[in-house]
Amino acid sequence: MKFMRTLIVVYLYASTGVGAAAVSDASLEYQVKASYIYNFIQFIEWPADVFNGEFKICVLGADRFAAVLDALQGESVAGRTIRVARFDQPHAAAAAHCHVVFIGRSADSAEALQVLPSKGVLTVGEVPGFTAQGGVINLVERHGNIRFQVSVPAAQRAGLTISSRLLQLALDNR
Amino acid sequence: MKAIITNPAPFRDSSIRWKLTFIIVIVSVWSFLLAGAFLLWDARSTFKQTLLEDITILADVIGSNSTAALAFRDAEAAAETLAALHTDGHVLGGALYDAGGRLFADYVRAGANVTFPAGVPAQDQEAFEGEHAWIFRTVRLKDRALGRIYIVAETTQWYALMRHFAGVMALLFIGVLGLSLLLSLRLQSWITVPIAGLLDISRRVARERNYSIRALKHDNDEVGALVDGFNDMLDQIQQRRLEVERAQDELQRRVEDLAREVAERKRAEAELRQSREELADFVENASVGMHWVGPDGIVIWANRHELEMLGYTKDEYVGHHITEFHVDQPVIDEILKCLLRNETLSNYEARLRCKDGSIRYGLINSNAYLENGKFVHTRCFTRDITERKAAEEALRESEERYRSLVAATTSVVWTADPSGRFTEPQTSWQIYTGQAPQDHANFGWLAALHPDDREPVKHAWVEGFAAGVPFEIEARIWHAISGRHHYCSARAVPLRAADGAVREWIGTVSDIDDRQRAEEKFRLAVEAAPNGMMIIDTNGTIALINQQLEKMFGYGRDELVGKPVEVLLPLSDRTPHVAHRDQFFRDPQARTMGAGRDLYGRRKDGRPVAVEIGLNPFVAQDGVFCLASIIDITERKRAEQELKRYNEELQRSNHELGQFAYVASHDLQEPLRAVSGCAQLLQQRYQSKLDARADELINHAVTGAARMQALINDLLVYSRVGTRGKPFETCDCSGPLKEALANLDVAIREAGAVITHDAMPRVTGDQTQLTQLFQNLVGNALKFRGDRRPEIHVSVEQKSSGYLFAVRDNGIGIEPQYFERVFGVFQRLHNRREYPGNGIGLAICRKIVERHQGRMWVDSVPGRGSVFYFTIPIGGAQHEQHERYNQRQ
Repeated sequence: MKFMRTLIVVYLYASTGVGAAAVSDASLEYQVKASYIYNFIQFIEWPADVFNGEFKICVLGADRFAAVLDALQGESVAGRTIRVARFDQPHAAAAAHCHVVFIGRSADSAEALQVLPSKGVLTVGEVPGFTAQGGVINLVERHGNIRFQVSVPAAQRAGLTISSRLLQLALDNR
Repeated sequence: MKAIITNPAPFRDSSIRWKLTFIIVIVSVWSFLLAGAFLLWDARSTFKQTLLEDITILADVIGSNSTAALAFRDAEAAAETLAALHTDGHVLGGALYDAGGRLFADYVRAGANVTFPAGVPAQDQEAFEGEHAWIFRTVRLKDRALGRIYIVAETTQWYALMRHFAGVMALLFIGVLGLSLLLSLRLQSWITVPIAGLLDISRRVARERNYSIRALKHDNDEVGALVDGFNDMLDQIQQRRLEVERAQDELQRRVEDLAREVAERKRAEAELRQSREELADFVENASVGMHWVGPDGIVIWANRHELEMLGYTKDEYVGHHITEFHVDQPVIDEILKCLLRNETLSNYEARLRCKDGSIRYGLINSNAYLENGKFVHTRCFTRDITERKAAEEALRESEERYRSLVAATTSVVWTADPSGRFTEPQTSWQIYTGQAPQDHANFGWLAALHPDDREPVKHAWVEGFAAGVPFEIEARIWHAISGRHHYCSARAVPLRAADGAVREWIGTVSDIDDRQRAEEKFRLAVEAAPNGMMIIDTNGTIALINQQLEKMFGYGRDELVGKPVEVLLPLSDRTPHVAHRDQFFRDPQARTMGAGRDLYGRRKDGRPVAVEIGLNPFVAQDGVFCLASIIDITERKRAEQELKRYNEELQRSNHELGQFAYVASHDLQEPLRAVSGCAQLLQQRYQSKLDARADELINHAVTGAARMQALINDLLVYSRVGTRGKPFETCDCSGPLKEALANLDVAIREAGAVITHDAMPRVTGDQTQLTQLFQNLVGNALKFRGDRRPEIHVSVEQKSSGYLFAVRDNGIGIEPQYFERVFGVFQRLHNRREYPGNGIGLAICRKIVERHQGRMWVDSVPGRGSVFYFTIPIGGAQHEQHERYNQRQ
C-alpha cells in the first residue's frame, strides 16, 4: 500500500495540479477519485443545451472528498467555471441541474439513478453493479489501482459523447 | 599598351587556338563541379528536412493517441500506442515522459541500441547528433501539457543515397569533358582563321614594302574592325609617301628664289650707305649742338658743335652718362623720364657743365627715336642761351633787393619843425605810407592816418608840441605794402638850441600792429566764450571778467573789476575761500575747483547759482594770475534730478506692470478652466448626438479655450521670469545647455540635427532660466529649419564685461525689418499652421537675459540662417540681488 500511496500523491500533484494543499484532509483514495472525475470531464462532451454558464459537480451522500474537490471549484472547463455542491437527498440533487453527480457509497445508488434526470448528467458511482443499475461510470479497485468501467448505453441515454481514447482504457473493454 | 591580364607562363607562347580550347574546357569543368556541389548540398538538406518532418508527424499522431493513457497513467496502453512506431523504417525508438519529466513508457525497435534521455528539455526541441535525429514534442490535452514524447530516428540511409549520386556525377563529368573538348576544337576556328589571315598579310607587307596590299575581312566583329583599321593604316602610309615627294619639289624651288633676293638686297644696301654718309656730314657740321642718349642714359653720339660748345673731346663726352654734364640732377631725370615716355621736349632749360668747370645755359629740344615702338635713343638739339640768361638773372636780383628792403621797413624816423610840420622829405615815411614828399609836407601826413584817429592825433600833437616835452601817442597809420591801416606808436623828442628853445623835433613811428591785433583777438575770444571767464591776481582781486560772467551773477563790469573775488561767493564760503585761494597761488596748477562738491555762487540779488569752475594759472609780465572758467549748471542739475525721478517712476511702473500681468493671468486661469472643462464635457457627452453644426461649434469652443489656456500659461511663464526667478548662484553653463538638449532630444533626433558647442564658461545666474533660454533658442533653431539638415552651433566669447553667447543655425532666417519684432510678446512672423507656437519664446529669452543684466539681439540672412546673440555680464548677479533688496525695502 505504501507504494500506491506514493504513486497517487505524485500523480495528483503532477497531472492535475490541484488539491495538493488538501492532501492531509482526504484519504488518498478520494484524492485519486477526485482527479479521475476531473480527467473524465476532459474526455466527455455534454450536449450544449444543458449549460447556463457554470459546470456543476455534485456529491450525493456522505462527502469523503473533504476539501480536495473544493480545489476544483473555480477551475475552467471549456469556458465554464466549475462549482461543487453537496446533497444528502437525491431529490435535491435532481433539482440542482448537476452535470456530474458522484453517488457516494453511503447513498442508495439505485434510488438516486431513478430520481436523477437521465439527460445531460454524468453519473459516477463506486459500488459493484453501478453500471448495471444504469450508471455511466463506475470506479472499481483492481490490483491495488483505481480503475473504471463505462456503460456506453447509459452514456448514450444521457446524451454524452465519450472519447474513444477514454473507452480504450475502460475495464472489460480490452 | 598595358597588358590587363597576364597569361600563366606555360601558355604565353601558345597559339590563340590552344588558349581558346583551354579556356572553354576550364570553364565547363568548373561550372560542372560547382553545379554538382550545389546539388549535393541541396539533396542533403532536403533529406534532413523530410526526415524531421516525418518524425514530427509521427510524434504528433502518437502523442495525440496517448493523451488518455497519460491522463489516467495507463502505462500499458501507452506502450501499445508507442509500438505503432515500428511501421516507420527510420525510427529506432520512442518514449513518453509524464508532466514531471519521468520516463512513462517506451518502445525500442528490435535489434536497435537506444538510450533514452534521463530528463526532458524545457521546450520542444529537435536535433541531429551523429547518425541520429531526435525530437521532443509536448503532448497536450486541451491546452494542458500532459507530458512529452521523444522519438529518435537513424540517418544512415543518407550514405546510400550519396554513393548513388557520386556515381552518376562521375559518369556525367567524363561525358561533359569530352564534349566540351570536341566543341571547342571545332568552334574556335571562327576566331582564329581571320586572325591568322591578318597576320599573314601583315608579314607580307613588312617583307615586300608593298603598301597596296589589303587584308580580307570575314566578319563584322572586333577582328573585322582590326582588319578595317589595318587597311586604313596602309591607306594613310601610302598617302603620306606621296605628300613627302611633293614637299621636296617645293623646297627646291624656294632655295632658288632666295638666292635671287640676296643679290638684289646687296645692291640696295650699297646705295643706302652712300646717302647716309652724306647726311652724317651735314649733321656733324650743323651750327646747333646735337647728341643722342641711349635708354641707359649713356651718350652714344654728339656732333662737333656740341663738343665745341662744352669744350670736350669726343672721347670725353661720348660713352659717358648724360647726368655728368648736367648741373641739376632733377632736371635731367625729368628730361629722361619724359623721353622714355615718348614725349617731345621743346625749349627746355637746363644748366650744363663745361670742361673748364663753368656753367652754361642750354635750351633743349628733344624727342625719342623709336624702332617698332621700342625706345632706341633720344635726339637732342641744344642751343646756348648763357648770355641771355645772365642778363635776365641780373634784372631779377635787383628788383628783389628793392622789394625786400621796402618790406623789411617797419620803423619810420622823422624830423619836424617846432610846430610839428614835416619840412623835409621823409624817406622812411614815404616808404611806409606810400605818400610822396609833396603829399606829406606840412600836415599832409595826417591824411595817412585812419580817419577816426586824425582829429585826436592832431589835438594831442599840437598839445604835445606846445608843452615842449617828449610824448607818445598811438594811432592807426596806412601801411602801403599790406594795403591797410596798422596800429603804430609814435614818439617825439624835442632838440633844443643853446638858448633852450626847441630847435626841431625828431621821432620814430613803430609798428605795433601784430601785438595790438593779438591782444584784441584774445579779448574778443574771452568775451565771446560761452562760459563765464574771470582773471584774478594773487591778492584775489578781479582783474577782468567777460559778458557771460556779468549775466551769470547780475553785476555790471565796473562793479566787479578791482573787487575781491569773494564778492561772488555765498556768505558762509567767503572766509575759507581766502585760505584756499592762497594755497592755490602757492602751488598754482590747472584743476577743477571743489572736486566732488556742489559749488554755488552768489548773485547780486542774493540768489545762489550752481556752478562748475575750472582754474588755470598763468604767468604774465606783472605776476601770476588765475583764469577761472565758470559754467552755470543750474539747468543741468535740474535735468539730472528730473531724469532720476522719471527713471524711478519707470521702474515702479514696470514692476507694477509685471505684477499686474502675473496676477491677471493667474486669476484668468480659474474661470477659463471652468469654461474649458465644461466645453470638453459637452464634447465628450454630446459628440455626434447633436447636429454637425453643433459639433463644429463645440469643437471651436474647446480648441479656443485650449489656445487661450496656452496663451495664459505662456504669459505666466513670461511674467514669472521677473517675479519668480530663483536667486543667482555661480553655475557652469554646460549644465543648463546639456539639460536643454536632453529636453529637446526627440525633436533633435526627428530633425536629424547636428548640434555643436564651444566649452561653456561659469557664470552667475539662475540655472533654471538659463536652461529655458538655451532650450527656447535651440528649439527655435530646430523649428524654423529650412530644407537643409539643421546644423546648430552654440558659441561663447569672453569680452571685457562678460560673455557673448551666440546660437547659430542654418534655418530659414529672418528679414531685417523683423529683427526687433521677434522679441515682442505674442509676435509671430508665420501663421500657426506653418510653424506652431504662441510667439512668446523669444520674449521670454530676452526677459531672462535682461534679468541677468545682459542684452539680446539677432542677426540673420533670410534663407541662410540666423544668429541669436546674448550677453551675460560678469558682475550681473550682485547688481540684481541688490535691486531685489531695494524692492523689499
